[in-house]
Amino acid sequence: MTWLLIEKCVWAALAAMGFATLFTTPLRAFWATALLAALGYGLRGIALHLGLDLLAATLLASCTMGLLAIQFAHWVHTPTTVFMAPAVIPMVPGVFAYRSMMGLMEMSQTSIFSPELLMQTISYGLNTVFILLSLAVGVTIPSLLFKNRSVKDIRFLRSKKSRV
Amino acid sequence: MAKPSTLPVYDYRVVSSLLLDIAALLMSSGAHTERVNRNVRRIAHALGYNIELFFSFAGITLTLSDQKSPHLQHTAFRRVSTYAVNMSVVSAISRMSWKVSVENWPLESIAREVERIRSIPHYPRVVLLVMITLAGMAFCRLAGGEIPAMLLAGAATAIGFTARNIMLGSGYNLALSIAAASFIASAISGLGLVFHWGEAPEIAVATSVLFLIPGVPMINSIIDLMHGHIIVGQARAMQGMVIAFAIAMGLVISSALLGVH
Repeated sequence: MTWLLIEKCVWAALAAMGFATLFTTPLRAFWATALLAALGYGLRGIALHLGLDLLAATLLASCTMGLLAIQFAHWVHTPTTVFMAPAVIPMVPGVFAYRSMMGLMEMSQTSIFSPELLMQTISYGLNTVFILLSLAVGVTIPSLLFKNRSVKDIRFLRSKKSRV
Repeated sequence: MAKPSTLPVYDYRVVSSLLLDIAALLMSSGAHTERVNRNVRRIAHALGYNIELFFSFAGITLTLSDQKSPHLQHTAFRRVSTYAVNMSVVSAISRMSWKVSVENWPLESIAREVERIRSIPHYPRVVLLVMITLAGMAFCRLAGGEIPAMLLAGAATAIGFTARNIMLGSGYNLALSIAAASFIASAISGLGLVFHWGEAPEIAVATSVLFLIPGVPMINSIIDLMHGHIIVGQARAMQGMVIAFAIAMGLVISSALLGVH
């Protein structure tokens, strides 16, 4: 269990760095992307293991990432979305989206009413949408929680001199 | 913020053109609307002007007035034609806006810095290809795929990504390019389903198209809706859905051709 989770965290970090390259995130922020992605994925895995459902676990992970991102933004001197957007991408529910779409295709081609197929397709589809929403909420947290001030005005750790 | 008592006076048209340049550059690089609003406002205040901004997905309208004579107003519109994510640009403009407001830059230095930021390149094609291939394999592993599925997903991602770049580079429509790339990637990874390679070959199909997901439009859409930029938020959500449906179209066509369900 533990080793598998740690291995998956490494893969999550790799996937996030792939997307950071695609989004042209500055090189100095790559470590923040990788670390946040691994932490977020690991936290979600632990929450799932402790019995939380997938949606709540994803929301918990993405919000934690959002709060950590505020401090990271000071260290790498970029806005939070620059490294947060690629960092949440490994948690995008790709397989759910695929299954819900395949379910829709199957429904369009059959004339027999199958409640299992209907419920499964709806469940996969709704899970996809809600997980995407909870990821986006996590990315938004830094600017929402602090009444829309710039992240630059929020400091958790005291710094010796203020830098631009 | 200590401001000098006498700020240099500039032509309204020059100032509004520069501010709109910055706003349009930010919008097209994938910044959310509130960020554009804040950054441009910060720069305008540092130069001694008040602004009102109106955002839509297709362009930005700006009304500029001097802080000393607020009744003299100048309005201009700038189209935002392409949306290509470049987070280095977003980051560089954000840093510049703080420097401008703290160090009181003159207009000319801002214009020069904007030109420099505009020419920030994307990462080289080869690096991108390698990283995206690794990301495709990583997605497959995260979804529970074994080594054969990972290799298949990696190969499909690499070829699909190349196809997407070629089509976008030669000027094809975005949705069409994405549908074609999704078709090619899922057709290659679908071979695993046809020949029953490995334990769960469907995971390779589902994850080989993930490099196409509209992550930035979807995230920005939610952020914009939460900040009250309803029109841009809706437009971004629609753009994300168009891309998602294009991916689905490619997947459906390839699975119909390969005869897998």
